[in-house]
Amino acid sequence: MRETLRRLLRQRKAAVGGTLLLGFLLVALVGPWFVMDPTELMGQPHQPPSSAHWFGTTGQGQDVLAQTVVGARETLAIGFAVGALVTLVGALVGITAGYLGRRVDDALTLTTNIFLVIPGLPLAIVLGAYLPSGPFRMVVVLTFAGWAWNARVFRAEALALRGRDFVAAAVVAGESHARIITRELLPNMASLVASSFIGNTLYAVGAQVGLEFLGLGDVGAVTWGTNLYWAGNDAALLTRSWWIFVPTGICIALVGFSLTLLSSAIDELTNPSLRAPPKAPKAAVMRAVATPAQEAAAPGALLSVRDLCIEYMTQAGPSRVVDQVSLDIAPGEVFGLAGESGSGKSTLGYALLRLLPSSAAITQGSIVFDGTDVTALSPEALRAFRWSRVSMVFQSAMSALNPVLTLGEQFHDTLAAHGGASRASSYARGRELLAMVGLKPELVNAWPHQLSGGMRQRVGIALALALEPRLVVMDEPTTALDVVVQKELLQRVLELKERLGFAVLFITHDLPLLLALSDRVGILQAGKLVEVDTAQRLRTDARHPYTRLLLSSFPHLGATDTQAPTPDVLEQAASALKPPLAALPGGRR
Amino acid sequence: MSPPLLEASRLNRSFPVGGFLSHARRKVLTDVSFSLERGEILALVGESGSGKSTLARLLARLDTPDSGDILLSGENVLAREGRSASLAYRGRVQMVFQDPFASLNPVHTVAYHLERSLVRHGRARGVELTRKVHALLESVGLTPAEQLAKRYPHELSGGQRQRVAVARALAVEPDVIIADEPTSMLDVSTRRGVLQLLKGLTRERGIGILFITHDLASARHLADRVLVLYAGSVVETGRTSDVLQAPRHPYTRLLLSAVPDGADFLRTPLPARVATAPPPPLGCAFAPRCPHADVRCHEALPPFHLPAAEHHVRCHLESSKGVPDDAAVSS
Ligand SMILES: Nc1ncnc2c1ncn2[C@@H]1O[C@H](COP(=O)(O)OP(=O)(O)OP(=O)(O)O)[C@@H](O)[C@H]1O
Ligand code: SF4
Ligand SMILES: [Mg+2]
Repeated sequence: MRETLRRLLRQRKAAVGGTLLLGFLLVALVGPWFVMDPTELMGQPHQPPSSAHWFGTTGQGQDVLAQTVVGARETLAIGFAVGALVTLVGALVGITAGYLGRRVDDALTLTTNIFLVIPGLPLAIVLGAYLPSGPFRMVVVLTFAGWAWNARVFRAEALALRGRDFVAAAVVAGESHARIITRELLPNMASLVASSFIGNTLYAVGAQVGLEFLGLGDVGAVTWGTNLYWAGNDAALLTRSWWIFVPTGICIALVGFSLTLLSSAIDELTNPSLRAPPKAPKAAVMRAVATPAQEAAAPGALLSVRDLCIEYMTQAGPSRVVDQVSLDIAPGEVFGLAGESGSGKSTLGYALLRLLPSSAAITQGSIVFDGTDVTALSPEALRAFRWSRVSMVFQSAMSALNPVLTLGEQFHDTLAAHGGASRASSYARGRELLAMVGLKPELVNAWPHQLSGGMRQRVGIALALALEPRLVVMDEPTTALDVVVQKELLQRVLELKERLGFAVLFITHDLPLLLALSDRVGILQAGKLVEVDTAQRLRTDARHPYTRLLLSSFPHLGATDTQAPTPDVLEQAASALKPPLAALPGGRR
Repeated sequence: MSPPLLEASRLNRSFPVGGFLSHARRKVLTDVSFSLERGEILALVGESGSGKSTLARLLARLDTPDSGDILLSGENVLAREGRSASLAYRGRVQMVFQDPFASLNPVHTVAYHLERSLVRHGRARGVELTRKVHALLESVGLTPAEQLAKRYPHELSGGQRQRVAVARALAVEPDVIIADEPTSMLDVSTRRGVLQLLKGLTRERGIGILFITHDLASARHLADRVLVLYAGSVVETGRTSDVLQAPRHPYTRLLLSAVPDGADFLRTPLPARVATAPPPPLGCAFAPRCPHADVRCHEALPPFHLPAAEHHVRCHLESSKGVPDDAAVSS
């Protein structure tokens, strides 16, 4: 919480908005003691600014400065009061509806929706006619007209949070509904409460000024809205007495501006994706300095990675996620890459296609694919290179498939981007590819959402093979699948590999799986490749302690299982080689 | 003989499908029965969508079955308490969730989570509270406890969070813990520690654990008995050694053959067919994929057979080998 406040202050938007608003609050609070009486006729009407009346006088002869300053008090008081009330009522109704669900939700949501469809403000004005005139009436009218929209926002948020396990865990722990709403749900909505409050205050100031300007407020009071109302009545525009309405207008604009700044600052703070990402380290420059004498690519290798380093820019400075990795993949080979979450497996895989996010950069080393230096490809060359030479299958097939296009269209997109195939020939090829991965060819006309997870992953593989690449990078393609589906899929991949002769870089944390699948396996720990060997040898005599730790972490099905490693072996391996906590935003899945 | 610690009897649950005004419902659990003894670990295995989590939520009373009974020490709790569970039930049956990144509230400290459980169930109060929190953290291997108690969930690793979740369940001194895939979101090197911790609990405190997993290898190491769920029905259950070493139901065999274990696991073919038809409405749900399916399987629901002591198999293939024994499970 304190950290959040500190970050809020460091932000420029928040600082400017907050200072402005504080200034106005100060004026509203103490200003009225320093100015003249705003209702008394202090001088001649329609006088321009002078030393006696700094902002001039109104059409009646009151002091404009006094009116502006005194008007701030009631305007802001009503604004904040309505902001708080609307937020409170909206939050209570919305959270209760969203959390309790069922009939309570039905009833409250119906009420909310009725309020949303009837024009709230006119109704509130009519009802307001029965209340005694004054600031209280304005507060009631504006709250009445404004809470429903807020209730909707809070209900949606409560619905999203209600499904989270920590709420279920609190229920299992025996907490009461009231406590879950106030102690578990509300604190998680702190930022929503804050930004709603600011937004509602903005609404309240605006609506209030509007109503008063139309003469629907208490015309006897001194507020910014009534100031404008009287300016209009006294023909300030006709007489070109700009000084009567300009100061109030500027004040309203500035308050609106500061509130907008604050609410956007809060949004940015709570939604990191709106923040400008830190710039990636300058790749080209650093490579020039840092490249050590390069070993030649191994003869006959399809892919040669040498001394590859990849860094992410994070809030805490650059963080090296792939650290001097060198590996070779032969044509037609299955190379397995194993490592725990945050070890840099996926980053390495993405780098082979130069698909890194903008905050990451290759700072050192080379990737040579079949004689081409991938790190040096121009954007056009890269586009031609990707997918036709090296392609990728992603962990979540849904992220690779476009949900609004049929499978046929996606095949066409991919094929057309590399050599302009006609739609008919793309569909034909799509059918062929689908059959190849064991799906019905008719599925070219299906949409992604009609497929199961295993089927989508097959489509992902079919797409990856569309241009007959020589290397396919597979990033945890089966992690989200059941074991039976996983085995079906992997058997199909091996079969296709035999037939088409592509090489595979298979990335997963599942070491037993990798050992069964791969020819050679590399173990990645905290960005470093700590051991590379044939699957055969790793299974029986792994040398690196981390590899042994990983191997011993998987229980076996067979009766000939080795016993659990003694705790000190585990500790030794773990403490000697603590993987650093990856400082990546959303680094964990 | 004293009644089992926790017993489920013919639990059914279906969810409405289709939109507003549609009365269509999809059956997720069908007549699920089992029992859990004190100090025992029962593994619940099955593919994704087979209804494992739904069953866990029913037992944790986060959800209510359409029909069926839950008996805690022989007492029918649903009949007595209705929809919302009593504090006494919560004090005896606890749950550990799959995702430790979601099951702890990000705005509260580790200590807060544990204190609430302790206070709510009257297990400690006042000065004793802090001491108890530290003792709990130490009992799940989180040291130094004073320091870890002050942390927020985001300052812990996945394995540490899951230990906190276990400690919270332990705080109320329960008799039963329902653990829904407690290690599937953890890194492999931390998994084993959490599993050992659970195993220790049954030994030291006699807690009964329902361990939900899709990882048969873990189940083999941890569980005393195994319950195999397919499409919402129990298809095989028995002692771990019987079920996993001599599986009898074709689906259990399929599951076992798909476990990535050994050098040639990818070379052995899967003992299943590609489903070409939906499951028959009356017969065995596995029939479209079963390599042994025959006419019987499409026409009649197979009864439970009892090929060995405590070993129940729901498959027509067994009818020639054993005695049909539906009564034994539904009693
Ligand atoms: N509240 C709900 N409304 C509708 N359908 C549901 C609901 N909860 C679960 N289901 C459905 O019930 C089926 C069983 O779900 P459940 O979560 O129990 O499966 P599971 O065995 O735990 O799977 P996994 O291994 O993926 O966790 C699924 O098809 C799911 O879509
Ligand atoms: S009942 Fe028939 S279809 Fe079902 S598992 Fe047994 S043999 Fe297969
Ligand atoms: Mg589940």
